[in-house]
Amino acid sequence: MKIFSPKRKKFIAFVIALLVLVVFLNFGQKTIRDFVYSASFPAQKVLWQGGKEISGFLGQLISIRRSEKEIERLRAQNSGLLSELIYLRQIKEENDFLRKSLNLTQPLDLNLALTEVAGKDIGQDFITVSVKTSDILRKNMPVITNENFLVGKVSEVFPHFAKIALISHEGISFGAKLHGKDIEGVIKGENRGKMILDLVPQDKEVLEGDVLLTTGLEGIFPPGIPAGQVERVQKNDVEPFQRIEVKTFFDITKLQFLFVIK
Amino acid sequence: MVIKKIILPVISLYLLVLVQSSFLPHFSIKGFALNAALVFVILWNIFEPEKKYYGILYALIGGIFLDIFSSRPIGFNILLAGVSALFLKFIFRQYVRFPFFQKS
Repeated sequence: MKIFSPKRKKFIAFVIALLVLVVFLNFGQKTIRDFVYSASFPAQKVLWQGGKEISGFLGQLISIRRSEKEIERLRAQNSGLLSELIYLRQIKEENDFLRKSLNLTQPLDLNLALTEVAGKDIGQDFITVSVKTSDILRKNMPVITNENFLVGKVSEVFPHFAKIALISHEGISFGAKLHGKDIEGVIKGENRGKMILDLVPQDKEVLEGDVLLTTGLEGIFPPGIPAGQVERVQKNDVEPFQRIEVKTFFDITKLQFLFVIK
Repeated sequence: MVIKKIILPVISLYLLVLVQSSFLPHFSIKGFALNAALVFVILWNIFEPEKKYYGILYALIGGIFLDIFSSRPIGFNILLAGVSALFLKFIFRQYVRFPFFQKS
């Protein structure tokens, strides 16, 4: 019996050719990916925009059935936020006046690069964005929405595109503190849009709706950027820390333009 | 024959990967969205006649497209799709028959 029959030889040759192809593709993966993304971007842009419009329309159809109570609650919340906004604007004007009077330097403006979302990785919490050739991006640069909400950080850079790891990605963790409270913890991504706030002792009072801001301690995200909102709090006497589920401020289906902080 | 057996399926796989990366994420349920290219490959391998092996080729090509549009190293989805296709071929050759696909 021949060990290497013609059929087996063909199979081995096929496997070797496949391994060589995989090695070649990995070796030139940045160039290949950039070329394919560039060729695909016009179609991806249309598909992303179309998906956004259709999911928004379907979302509106579902929300039409929202109860009157919920609408009233949102109206009341809106009024409260409006008066808080007016108050904060007055504070800002006073702050700017005092800075000028005391000759203090203005807080640094962020240097931002505009990007546009092309698509999302199916298996993981990554998105692909297009960048202008003139914008020099580097790994770990933070990414925010136009409302200044934290989205993620640059994980891979190509000549015309970049991969952004969302803050809900399982490999991302960063320091966060509750706005208005002396409680700090670490936000850890759990993929599929989920995050938890870890290392918060059981005796600390955390409420649903509490806003989380970055602390900047890990040296990647600037401090004071809104990162998420507490969705659910689970206390357990057996565990040393609470399990606090956090939702992001951004909705992946509504993202289109993002800013990278250079 | 080349157009029907190679070019059309390759274009279909490419378009499916584009749709699943740019359109389907808007319709995910609890963060889960359909892997359209993998479903195509699995269905092709299930319903392809026993003695044909185009399904394995489509699995490898689909894996390449999925790898390019993902953040994983190239080879992960090629391996996943290729092994799935081979496994299905083996199972359907050894244990499963669809009477309505067999020639009488």
